[in-house]
Amino acid sequence: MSVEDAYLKAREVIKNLIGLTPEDYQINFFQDDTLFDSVILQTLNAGTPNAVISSNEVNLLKEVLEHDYVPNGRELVFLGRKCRLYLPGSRSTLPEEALTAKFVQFLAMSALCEETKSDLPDINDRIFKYDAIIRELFSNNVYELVKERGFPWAWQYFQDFVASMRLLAKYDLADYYVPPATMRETSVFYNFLLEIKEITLKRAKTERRAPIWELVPYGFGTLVLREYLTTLDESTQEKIKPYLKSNLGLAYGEIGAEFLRWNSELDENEGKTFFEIAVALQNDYELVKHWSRGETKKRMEILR
Amino acid sequence: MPHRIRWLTRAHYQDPLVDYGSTEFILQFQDAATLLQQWRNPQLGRSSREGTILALASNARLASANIREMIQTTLLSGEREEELIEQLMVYRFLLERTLPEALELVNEDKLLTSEDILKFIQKHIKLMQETYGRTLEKALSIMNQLEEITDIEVRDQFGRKQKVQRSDVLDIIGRTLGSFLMRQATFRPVDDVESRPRGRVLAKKTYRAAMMRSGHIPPEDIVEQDIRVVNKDRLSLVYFIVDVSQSMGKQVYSGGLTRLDGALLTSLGLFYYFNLTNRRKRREFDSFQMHLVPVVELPYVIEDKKKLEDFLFGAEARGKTRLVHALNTVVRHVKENHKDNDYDVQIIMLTDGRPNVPFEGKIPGFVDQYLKKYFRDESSSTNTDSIECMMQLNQYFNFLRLSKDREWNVSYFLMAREKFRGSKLFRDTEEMLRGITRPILIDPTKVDQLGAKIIRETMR
Repeated sequence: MSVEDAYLKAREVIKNLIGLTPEDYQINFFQDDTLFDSVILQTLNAGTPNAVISSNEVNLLKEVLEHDYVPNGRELVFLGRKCRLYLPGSRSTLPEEALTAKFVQFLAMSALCEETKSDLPDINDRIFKYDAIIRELFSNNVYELVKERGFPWAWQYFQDFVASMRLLAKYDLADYYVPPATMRETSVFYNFLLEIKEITLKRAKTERRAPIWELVPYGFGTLVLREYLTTLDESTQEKIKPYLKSNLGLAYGEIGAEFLRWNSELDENEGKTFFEIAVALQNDYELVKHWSRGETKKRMEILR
Repeated sequence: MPHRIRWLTRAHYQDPLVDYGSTEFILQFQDAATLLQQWRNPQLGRSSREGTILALASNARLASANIREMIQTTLLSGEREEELIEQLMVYRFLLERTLPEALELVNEDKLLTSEDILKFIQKHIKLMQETYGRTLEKALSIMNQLEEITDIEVRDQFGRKQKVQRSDVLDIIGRTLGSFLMRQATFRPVDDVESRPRGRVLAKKTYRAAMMRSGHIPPEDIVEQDIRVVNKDRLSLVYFIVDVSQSMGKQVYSGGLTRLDGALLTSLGLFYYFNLTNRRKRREFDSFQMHLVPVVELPYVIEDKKKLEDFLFGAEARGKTRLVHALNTVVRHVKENHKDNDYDVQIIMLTDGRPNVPFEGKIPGFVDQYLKKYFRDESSSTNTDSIECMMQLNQYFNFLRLSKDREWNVSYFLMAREKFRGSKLFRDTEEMLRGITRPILIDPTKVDQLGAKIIRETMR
């Protein structure tokens, strides 16, 4: 099977390029491509694939779906200690080399996430878990209301409630909704609401601590992918490059890779591999802090 | 397959973009009333229009962000890419130039009608051409989203949004407000009774007829001549006399509703109630023929339903109160147009009870001496012109009541709050209508609550 072959080959490539392979990660194919369209829109908008979004957001995103403005060419990478890759099922039929290249990039990022000194993967993991808990709590409680008690409006009501609680907590406005503690005894659902409030508050706290760490992983991924591409012969490169538009087209991937190259030219990084440099960086600021704004601008213009 | 590669289906992962709120929309009476108010007074719907623009902006923002991402990452055909770039340009223009200006205009109440919006769109399409140096094909279809500004959006009690059609709203108003008003008014039921053994039998009346014939209680038998059934082929002429004088412009109800608002809402309620009954009876002709007589300097009769409806939506308060003139117009209209038949006439007066221009011509009938004495003894504060008008009205009503040619019914709606019941003017009006009908106080804000209650009860 081509997916399996591509995957095994990508692991070998990574071992040769970086010197180690990641051990805890997940590659998820969506059997249904339209489901992936929904998921990518929701994740780009709300942060994680598990996040419960309000009906207003749902309507907005549905309009985007209707107009067919879905960037479904890209794959979703969730940067946790356990890195997750989401991609539509139709990708499995791509040429094996293209699929291998995609896996190489993902495995490189995954390896970086496992070893990095940055806090972001841990924080992302926690946010992912909180969102999953909220989702489970939400659907279990509302399912009973909708199916067994026959309140069809309850789904949307609680969905909006949870989504707006998440938003209020995110901007530190959760005091807007302060239910009395006695509410717990009133009914299971009030209990549920209090529970949701607590978890959203924790989630917001965690989210606020997250550093910006985006140029480093995407840059490193792009760098490794480019390195891998140079090992292929030209005809293969020509053949698979169109399929790698999403992997090479992201602006921050390209810029991050460039910054990593500049970093490797610094005195302090002499003799270090790109992986060692990238692992030591705790956030994007540490990547870019060596150059002034003007200097960066000049270098970027040359890059263009 | 290595264990780290998984295949997800819909069973593993729910579609996050399913809208579970799209169950049946429930339109309530309050929403209908506010909507009507908004249609009558576009300034009131401003916040809804501003909201529409903000929604358009967030749509455009999301669309442009996704298009940018799409162009960067997704494999597209050349045509599609060009199309997307064009759309991105339009969205950008929309976000940077059009929508801010539209918001400003809406805020100043300058973008109200659909013509305004069309002009605005055309202006901006030209501007776009100047900015980009060429015509963008997608511009018009995207810009046409702005037409949504004229729509009015309501939320029901569960927060669901819906753009509602006018007819939906009016049905609700006819059903609740109309049936509530009908219970108050002294209309005679339009269905008459005759002895004919076909059709729906009226048991009580049949029983009574049998008793009367046989002279026994209970009657010994019921023969064919006793049987009373519903006569479905009666026809009734309805005349709304709507006071649109200056004094009706006063805001007396909570929520800034004027007396005129109340009068128009009431007449709309009744109008749609009659319409609904007409529709329900499924006959070739309407059993209620509706007319409207605005109380203006030269009162005239509006017969066309569409014009009637338009008048009720667009009336303004100005001028003096010529109630007797309007009544005279009605009587003349009936006598000229329905000389040969004996259709019932329902006269529905909607006023604040302050007529102030006496009728100069001759009024049939005689002055009620008792009422004359009452006004001589009691009134000191009421305007003499008003007293004169009330005497004339009373004379006219009494004449109509006693006339044998057809059945005349009068309903007299007073647009005022409940505390008006204690006032001198109310007592005068009651006295004036003694033996004819009784004045009905209408507070649309109270009716509103009642209407909501009725709906809630019927839905249970």
